[in-house]
Amino acid sequence: MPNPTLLLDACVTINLVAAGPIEQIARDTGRRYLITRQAAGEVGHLRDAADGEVVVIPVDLSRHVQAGAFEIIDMTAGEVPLYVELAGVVDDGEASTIAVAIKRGLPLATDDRKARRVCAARGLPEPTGTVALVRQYCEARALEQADVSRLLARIRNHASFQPPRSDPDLKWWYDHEPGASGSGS
Amino acid sequence: MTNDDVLGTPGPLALRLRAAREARGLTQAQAAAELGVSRPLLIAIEKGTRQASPQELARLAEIYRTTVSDLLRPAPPPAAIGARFRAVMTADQHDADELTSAADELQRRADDYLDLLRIAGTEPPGRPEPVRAVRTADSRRAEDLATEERNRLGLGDGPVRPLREVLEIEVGLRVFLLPLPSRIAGLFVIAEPLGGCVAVNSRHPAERRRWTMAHEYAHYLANRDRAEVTRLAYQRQPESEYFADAFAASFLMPRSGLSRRFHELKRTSADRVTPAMLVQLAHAYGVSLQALSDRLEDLGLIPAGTWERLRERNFQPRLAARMLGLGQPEQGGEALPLHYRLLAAQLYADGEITETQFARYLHTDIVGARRAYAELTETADVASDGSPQILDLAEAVG
Repeated sequence: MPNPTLLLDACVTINLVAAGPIEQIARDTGRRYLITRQAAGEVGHLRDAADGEVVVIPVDLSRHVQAGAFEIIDMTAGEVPLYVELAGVVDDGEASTIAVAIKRGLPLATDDRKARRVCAARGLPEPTGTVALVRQYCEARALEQADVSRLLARIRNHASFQPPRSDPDLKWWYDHEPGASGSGS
Repeated sequence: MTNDDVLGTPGPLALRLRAAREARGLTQAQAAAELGVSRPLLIAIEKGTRQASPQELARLAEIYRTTVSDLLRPAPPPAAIGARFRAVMTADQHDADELTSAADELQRRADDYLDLLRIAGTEPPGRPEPVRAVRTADSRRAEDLATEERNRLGLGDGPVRPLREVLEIEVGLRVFLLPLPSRIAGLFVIAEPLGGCVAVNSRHPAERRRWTMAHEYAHYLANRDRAEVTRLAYQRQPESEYFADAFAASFLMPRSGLSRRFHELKRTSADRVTPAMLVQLAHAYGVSLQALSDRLEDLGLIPAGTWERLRERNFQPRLAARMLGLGQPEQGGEALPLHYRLLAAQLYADGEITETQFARYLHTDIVGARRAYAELTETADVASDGSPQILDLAEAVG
């Protein structure tokens, strides 16, 4: 049984918010998501298209927090020195996420190539990523192919996400997401 | 913590802390109070005689609304661009605040560019040209200089469509589009080691932006030792501004090429000069109808006062261009230089910077950065199913 608590970075968080049912994803995969205050501040906005124009959609994380999708956490004083050290290498959101993961022994989710390299260098277990989390949810709910495609299309259209080429679940994504172009970095 | 500052010497971190505080408009006393330390202690941190603790650094980043990551950049911030502009502002300048904030914004862009270059271990494009010894009082010399530059860059005497690219890659100017006060066309300053930095008013139309770029190019060539603020109008136009305008006219609309096109069009219009012909020429050279008319008047090809007469008749150049099927002028409205954006995209593709860092360099959010990455890596080719081909920047091509 994997640790039910999972740290999300900003990039994975925006993808799960774009997917739609982030509360359900957490619940149905038996997870409790945590996100550091620094990473939460980096989540930004989703996009949509209306009459051929790109529309910016604000993300209200507090709504998802209230709905029990995840919890925004602050670092402890003991975690700050490591956070500052890591912030010399990666952005503040990744630095705080990795620092908390190391200090509290928690697993984390990130698709970011550089962040994953830092995790490996610090001896952390390999992080999970967006596609694995979404796949777990789809399989847990036994979603129909069409529903899976719609969910993945929302992530692609609203968060402009393309899975990294190194993602172990890349083939699953392409098999289920008709619009995928295979251009992830 | 990663602070290489030598005690007693303000190192990069100390200098960045000070710059960040000033950018927030806080006094040392205010910042110290927010941090919960004495003012002498904050001064000591900014002088590098006392290192900030990790907790203090994290808190200062919050107070200054910046990131720890940015404060920890290993190089000092570029020489005070903002201060150099403040030095050339007049005491009664009514838009001083807006101008100051634009100059500070240009400084931040220059800092970001230098940081990208540092991470990539590379240098900015372009071969710096020595400053030209020209008397800016002599506007005829502006035309000679424009011709020399066109020859040096191998541009011939036709229109320069990719003007911004030529200036960025061949000349070595760093062109940023920033929202400036409406009466300001552009800013120019040298920020070593980046070189000549230009801010062009993003609120102005594409043709005006091209003119401003060429104008600032003249400052780079002829009088780069001081920061320049280019205004749309002056009570009394300074000599250097007059020279830069003359250079812009000659560089964008070279005498020989423009005359040749003009006569060719005139010949095919039963030897008449029509407004449609002027609109067509302005479109071809990417300049406003007024700029074209002024140039043709200077060259003695049309009578003086042509533009005023057209304006009095409420002639609408944009409408005329649409009716002639000429479409919108090339926009080239990206806020950041192409080389800058490509450098950031390559570093992100190589896993040298995180997605959030990529977004910060592009001054957007995560999804905005993903969209920009897709645009930057999309090629003109299409796949067999008709979808756009995407270039994988992470794959070596030689």
